[in-house]
Amino acid sequence: MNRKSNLRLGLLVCILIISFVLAGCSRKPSHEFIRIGEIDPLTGKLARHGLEIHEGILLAIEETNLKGGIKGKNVELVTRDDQSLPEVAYGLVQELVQKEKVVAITGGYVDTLVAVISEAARKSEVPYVAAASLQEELTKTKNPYFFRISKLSGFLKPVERFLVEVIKPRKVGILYASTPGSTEFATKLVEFLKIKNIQVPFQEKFRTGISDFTPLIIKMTRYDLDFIISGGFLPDHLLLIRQLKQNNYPLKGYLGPWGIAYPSFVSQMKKDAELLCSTCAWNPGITLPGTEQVSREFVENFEKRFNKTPSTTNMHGYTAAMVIIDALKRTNLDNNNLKNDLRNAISATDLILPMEHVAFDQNGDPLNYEHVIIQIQNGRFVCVYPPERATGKLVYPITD
Amino acid sequence: MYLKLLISGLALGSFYAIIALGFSMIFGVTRVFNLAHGELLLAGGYVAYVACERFGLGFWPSVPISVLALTLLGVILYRVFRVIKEPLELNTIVFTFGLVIALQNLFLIFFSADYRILTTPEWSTTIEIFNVSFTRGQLTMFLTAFISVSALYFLLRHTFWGKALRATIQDREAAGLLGIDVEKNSILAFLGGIALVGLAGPFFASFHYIHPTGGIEATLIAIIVTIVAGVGHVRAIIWAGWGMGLLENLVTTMLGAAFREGVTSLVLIAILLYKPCGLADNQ
Amino acid sequence: MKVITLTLHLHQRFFPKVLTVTGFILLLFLVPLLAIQSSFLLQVLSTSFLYAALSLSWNLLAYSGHISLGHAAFFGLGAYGSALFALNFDTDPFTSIWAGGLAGALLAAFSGILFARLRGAYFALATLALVEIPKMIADNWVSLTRGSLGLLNIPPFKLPLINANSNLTIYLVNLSSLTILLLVVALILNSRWGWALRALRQDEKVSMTIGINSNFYTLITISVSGFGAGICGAIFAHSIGIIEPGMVFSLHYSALPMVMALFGGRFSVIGPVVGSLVLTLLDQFVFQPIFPAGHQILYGLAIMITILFMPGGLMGLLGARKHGITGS
Repeated sequence: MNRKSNLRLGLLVCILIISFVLAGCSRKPSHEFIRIGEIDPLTGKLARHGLEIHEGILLAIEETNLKGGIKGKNVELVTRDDQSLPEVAYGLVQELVQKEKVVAITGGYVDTLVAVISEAARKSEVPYVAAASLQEELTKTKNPYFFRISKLSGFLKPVERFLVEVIKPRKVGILYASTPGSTEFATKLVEFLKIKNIQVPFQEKFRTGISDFTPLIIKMTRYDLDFIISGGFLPDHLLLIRQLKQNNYPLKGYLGPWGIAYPSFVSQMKKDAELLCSTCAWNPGITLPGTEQVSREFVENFEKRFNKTPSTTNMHGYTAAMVIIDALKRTNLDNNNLKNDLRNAISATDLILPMEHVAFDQNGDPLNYEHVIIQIQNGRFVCVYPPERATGKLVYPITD
Repeated sequence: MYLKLLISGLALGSFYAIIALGFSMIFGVTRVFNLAHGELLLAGGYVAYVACERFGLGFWPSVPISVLALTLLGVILYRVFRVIKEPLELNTIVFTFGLVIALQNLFLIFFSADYRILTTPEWSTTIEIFNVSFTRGQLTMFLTAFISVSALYFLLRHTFWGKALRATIQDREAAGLLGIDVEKNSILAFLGGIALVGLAGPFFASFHYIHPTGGIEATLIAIIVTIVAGVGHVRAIIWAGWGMGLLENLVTTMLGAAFREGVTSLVLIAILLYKPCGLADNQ
Repeated sequence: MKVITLTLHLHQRFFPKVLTVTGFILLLFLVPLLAIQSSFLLQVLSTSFLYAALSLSWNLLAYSGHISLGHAAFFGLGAYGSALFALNFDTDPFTSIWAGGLAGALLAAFSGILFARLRGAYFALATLALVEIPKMIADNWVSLTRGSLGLLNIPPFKLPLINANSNLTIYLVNLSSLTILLLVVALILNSRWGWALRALRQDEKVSMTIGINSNFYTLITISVSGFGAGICGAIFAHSIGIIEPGMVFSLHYSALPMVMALFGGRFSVIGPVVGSLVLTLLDQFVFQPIFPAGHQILYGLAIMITILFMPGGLMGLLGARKHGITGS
């Protein structure tokens, strides 16, 4: 290593950095468009769900632009992929705000990613409306820029009531994934069942991506469980259900809050999906009373645009984007402090959408997010709980 | 209940034996420490997935396609591995670690990170033999492992080529001096090992599921089984594979699924401490 | 006499390098003034400094000939150690990162003793398996680590005179820690300790006959290396604000330092830093736009190319002397 090459190297790296600095400065904010940022796991292990949220957001933006935009300005969506990695997500917020000049950010699936994005959004002082987030602590950080349209109790409360009022089991088995949301769901549910004197003899955590459930199933056989709750995601259900059948497990009832109420699940599992239960906030045919018309339009537009039936995750993306669009309509767009005004407008949201009547509390948590319990009957999602929204009768226990 | 646990553990172990057999052959003759073994297994799984889901072939036709595809990949890999310099074990472990990252990202580019599963409903039917019920999948696993192990055992013990190969594994230079075509033997054994991975791939994709980062655990298990059995000891591999399958099932039942990977790693560390020279034990 | 020539030789080699590197670091401290507009660049550079510090720690151990595939264990433990310390004792991040470093150093020392007999590929393999153990503990010791729920609200760094919300804080913290670590590593490698490590890497048996205590040097080296990785993990935890077992004990943090150090040049002190800067910038500004899905393929390719064609890494290519794979 000699002096000359040292200098040469130093010079090279300097030029590299300076050119990036200049490249970074040369971009000017665009005034013809309102830019909304989106950060979703479009690749990586959460890609399936991230893409669904993306489609929902995209539809909301395109619909708005077709209807003439917001106060004559078109909305432009700037999408970024966080690769399902939190450290990547963190960096993207700054890029969207500084380089792309977005006024708000949406998207996000799974709490780890949402938490990181929300912290970065607080730093950049840009409002962030998360499409799918659960953990209760996330909204307790006094982050004025963080809003979300879902929360854990929206899943948990209906499941709790459903178990106590309808199933009335003696013994429940709980499997859950080692993700924050799933773990919190399982822990809270166990606490609740204890108070109600329902036994939980079988409680197992597994890592998403575990490749063999057989030993767990064999262990479960010992307990004569009346109901199984599985907090895994779509692939976990695929494998677990299939291995339950392979081992001739006497399944009485099965509910998975995540990953079952999807057309793709039914199409992959075919007959094996029959009579499994899940929860959902919305589905074609299951919509908030009074929003049937809007819901039908959404389904039609979605089918036209993407050539498939929309899922509840699509709807989450759509809802989150609609909250921002609605707030933009109530904001003075020429304001210097647009991001802050928009934040205030989002916080005052009072919007009825097919999935929920959106309104936020002081922490940015949704006030009215609540799931219904569905069961797959003849390949269709039938709402079985609560009674006032039921579209069919629950089949329990499952008998072959 | 314990009988069922035993059967499912042995079926899993048979699968481990097949992947370890491939690792053992590759390492034995080329001393390539292939950390990307699990990723190659996934590659086989993805090939089968494409054959099944995109081209509508069934499970069985997809197996030879996967074997063929991986063997072709093996030809390229063999050429590349030949360029790597000494210290070979350390350099190949680092090189194949790079291959792990590259392959994981290639899978991401072509297949996204979604979990893929081969849908083969006939695995679930149960068959009763002597009052013990097996699923068809478990029986297939036993048979495949049994056939590959005994075929390889016969080849190594009772054919001239096999004897030459064993000589190559034991002492490369001496084998060369005796007039054995070491280079030809090496490439054949290497391709044989890769072909075994190609055979295991479709099974992996249909019994479990495949996703881009799902290979590392399979690699660790292949290494554990190979070290326990000793390189080139074909019959010992099936015992070690079964042992590992049973241990994993036991851990999952007794401690819980959250401890599975941790215990696998502990086993690997314990074995390395017991056998610090690892694979180089047959000198 | 021999000692004097050695010292002279060392100074001739050492001083121009020190000048260039010092100048370059000063320049990096000035970048924020130029680039105040482009926060994204600051972010990318901060990340690359963190990786550079991690690679330096990794490379210190590699200097003794031990290739580790498990620095995520020390990184993750550092993150957890520091976050738990800060949350439980309500301390400032600048205090708690030392706890994180110490946690990393302790695990490293422990593994140094445990793996003392392992060499080469088997040492690498053992470290690869090591990562799972602190991960399993962090994932299941719910009362301490909250298990899979992860740790939230980890306090961020705060510097006087700088807006707490700006990326500048992290940039300065990362750059300063990189500078300090670079200094420490340079001092170690240019001392008796460093020469002992080089001797051990080239021929352990011969080194031991001339009186170099292999076990002692390996143990202190792996401890310092673990300390550095632990500090990096701690800084990561405080700058992101949230950690989970699968996030910090991930293959990513075992792979990156190795890739960057090997690519930059593992036989040179600043090789890992050069490797980190070049690869991070290349990844974020070239590969990410072209292969949005699998842009990290760059890291895999970089390592394979390094092993096949440039065993001395970038610094080896730039340097006048050609290095063999076993070292200079």
